[in-house]
Amino acid sequence: MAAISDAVSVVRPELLGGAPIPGGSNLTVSQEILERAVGRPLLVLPASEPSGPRSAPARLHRILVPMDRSLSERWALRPLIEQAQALQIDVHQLHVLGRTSRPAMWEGSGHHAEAWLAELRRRHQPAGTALAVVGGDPVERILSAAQKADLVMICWHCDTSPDRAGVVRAVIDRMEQPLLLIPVGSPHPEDS
Amino acid sequence: MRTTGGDGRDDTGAGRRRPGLPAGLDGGLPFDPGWCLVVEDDGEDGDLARVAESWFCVADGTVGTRGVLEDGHDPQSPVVVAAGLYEPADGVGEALVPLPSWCTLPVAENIPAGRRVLDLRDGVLTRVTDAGDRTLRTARFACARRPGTGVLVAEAHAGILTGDPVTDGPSMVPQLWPSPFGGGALVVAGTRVTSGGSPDRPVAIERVAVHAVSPRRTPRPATAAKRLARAQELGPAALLAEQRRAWARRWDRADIEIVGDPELTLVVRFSLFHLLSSTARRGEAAVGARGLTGPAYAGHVFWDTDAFVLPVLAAVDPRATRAVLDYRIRRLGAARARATADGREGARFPWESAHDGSDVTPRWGPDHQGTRVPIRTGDLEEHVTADVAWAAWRHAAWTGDWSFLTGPGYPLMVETARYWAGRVHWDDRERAHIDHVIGPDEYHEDVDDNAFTNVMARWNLRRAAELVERSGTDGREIEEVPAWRKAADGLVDGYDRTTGRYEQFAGYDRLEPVKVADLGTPPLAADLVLGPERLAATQVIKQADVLMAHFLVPEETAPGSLDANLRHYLPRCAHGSSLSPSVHATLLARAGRADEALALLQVAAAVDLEDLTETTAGGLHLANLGGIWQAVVHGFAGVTVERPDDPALVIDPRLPDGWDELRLSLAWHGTPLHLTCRHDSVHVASPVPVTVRVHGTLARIEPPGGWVG
Repeated sequence: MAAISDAVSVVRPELLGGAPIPGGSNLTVSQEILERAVGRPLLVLPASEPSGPRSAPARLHRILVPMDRSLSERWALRPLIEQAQALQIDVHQLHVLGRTSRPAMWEGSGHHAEAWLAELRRRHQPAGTALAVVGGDPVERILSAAQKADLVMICWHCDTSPDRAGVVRAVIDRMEQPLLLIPVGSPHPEDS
Repeated sequence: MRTTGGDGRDDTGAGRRRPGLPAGLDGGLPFDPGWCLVVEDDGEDGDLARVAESWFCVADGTVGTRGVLEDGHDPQSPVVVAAGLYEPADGVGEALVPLPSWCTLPVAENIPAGRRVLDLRDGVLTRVTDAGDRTLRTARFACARRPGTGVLVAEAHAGILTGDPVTDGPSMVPQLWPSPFGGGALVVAGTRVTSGGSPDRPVAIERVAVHAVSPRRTPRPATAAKRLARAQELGPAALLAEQRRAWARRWDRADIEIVGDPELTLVVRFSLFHLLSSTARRGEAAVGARGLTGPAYAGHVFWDTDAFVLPVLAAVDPRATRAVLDYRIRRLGAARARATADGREGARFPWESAHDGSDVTPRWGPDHQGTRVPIRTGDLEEHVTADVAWAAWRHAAWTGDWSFLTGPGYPLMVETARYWAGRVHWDDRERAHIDHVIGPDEYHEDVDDNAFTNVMARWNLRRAAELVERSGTDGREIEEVPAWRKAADGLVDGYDRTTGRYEQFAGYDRLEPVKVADLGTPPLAADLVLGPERLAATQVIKQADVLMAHFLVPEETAPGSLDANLRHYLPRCAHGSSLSPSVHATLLARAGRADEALALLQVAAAVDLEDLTETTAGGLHLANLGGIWQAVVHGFAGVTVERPDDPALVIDPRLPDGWDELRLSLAWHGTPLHLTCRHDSVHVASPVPVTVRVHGTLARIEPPGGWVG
């Protein structure tokens, strides 16, 4: 954890008061975090009170990586996954087939699902990592899977518009594990 | 990666010598963007590179070679497969035997893929990666006249060769790749290398690979060696000239041009190219769902072949159609055995078929999460039995060949009808029913009286009855004919005269009336949106079901019922299946809704070229390619065939506003025809007198041709 925090910016949400913006209202905590995360990795640490959510562990055993199926995200994640593996950290990728991430056509279970999963793994699953595909609400699925992780690493496309990055915002608000936001290229139309 | 097609707007050098063809291998065909699929690959997009491997498959009906780069490929993914050659495979029963790649060259890693062009006119795939002293030019093709023979020609700068293309290449001694079910493929290749003579001149490489394939008997090494020697003796230039002649003849019988839409023209040509390439013209043709273009669906043969691929071949390559039907005819024994096992007579064809015609449909398979779920299509999706009979009849309708139906096709028709006669059950009101089936719409399983299944069964019974009476046989089937006709007449089909609609299956109208627009914009993976159980409780359907009856057997549907069923079912269709958009495009065109039809045809065009299912890397969707052709020919051109004794070829164009002309080639009753369809008239070019009916007007056309309308 210390090695990561040396390389990235670190923020604790409970210390953010909500920065004022023109017009009089304050930014939400998640919005402020996103503003800080544009263009650079940002580590969001949970509250450190013993009675509260988990603090950052001394050593990472498992990293959860929620992922979409975009090429830009894969490029951003690949070197980080390799670094984690070099440190003998288990990497678990999670892909949630949500409303905006479903393939345009789906022929059904069996041959089609097999071909689709095989291609997904070929494209997105580096050797030595685990990859799970689930359906349902992306936020709930990520938060549920994060329970078993020491760190969650999530890419986002640096679009801080109010109607964008909905999943990332919700995860920021509710995550109890350390969360590393990784900036990826230009705004992605499917990011929500 | 950038892809370009036939719009001519790029700098592809139309009219110039085709890039990528090594010196000495050219002459004759300048580059034409209307016939070329071009991919510029800078190595940034590995995903589309895998999809392009499917696009760039070169095949000869017997052996297919994916468009992998010569530098190497994913060892987990089969590169070469042979039609009809299967081996046991976990989870799917049987899969195509993977054969070794014959296209690999020992070149340095990280050579850019460069510019690759598949010229559909002759099936030559070229590649140019031009990086100073790291230049590589290659050309390959699968010999249409010599199935199983592939040619690779390359020019490589000496600096990028990391080995000897001869000794580091495929085996020069015939190697057997057996199938445990019998037969196998003998693979042998010969490579010649000619030094450039100086360090700055490229090394020339010529390779010929031969695959002697037999699904039943072990091929003889002498056969493979003889074919190799003969091909090497001819040399690449002569083999290419032969290739061009073979494909020129094919295109003369099959080409389509949409004047006013060059991009769609290229898509249709791409579709035809791969349909023709994936189908053998001799012996039997086991045409799997992805043909010879990739491993997805394990090479299993579905109704896709009978209902979507064969109709194309029947019009442009009847020899291939016979081969497709011979595959089914030779597996009639297995179909009889299945019916017997079900306690019935006749023949029941399997949902998925492979080496011997037994049912290889997996009973379990992964869902989107990888969870094993039951697969019920093998037990319940029975309409395939009627689809096989339909394919036999369709072949005869295009060729005018009654002798096929009274000869080799006769048992297909009779045994399938016999099956349906025993499959129905009767209620106390003398109505016949077929219960516990799955129709084309697989969102709803285990339904009763699926309209499509019942209409097809009825059609099957009636056509078989007619055929038996026509044949003059004194076999037992002549005694069965009255029962067949009674079953056909008694079968319920869900048609309501007051609404003009067919109920898709018993109880469908009582389901929750959800429309697809309530869920999103189609095409839509509705089962991923709602989940299977919730979805099954709604009226949302996966693909055309009732409308499939209008697509395949319009003469068996209530006159004038197309509009009402389009109005009802189209808004409920998610187009979750790649089979769906083209069917709807065809029917919308027939209904005079050309713009809507064109929009769905463009969705069909995108299935593989934009990888809508995200599985095109596993092979092209052959049924969709066939559907594209059908939408153009049967939909927009309104070409209709129904029976072998049709007195005229019906042509009824309904073109979109942006199309100036639709030009198409096909053969009807053995006569090659070239049609030029305009909005209000048709020119028919024919070498012999032919009778056509254009927009309802009967006309006798004398050679060389004339306008009607």
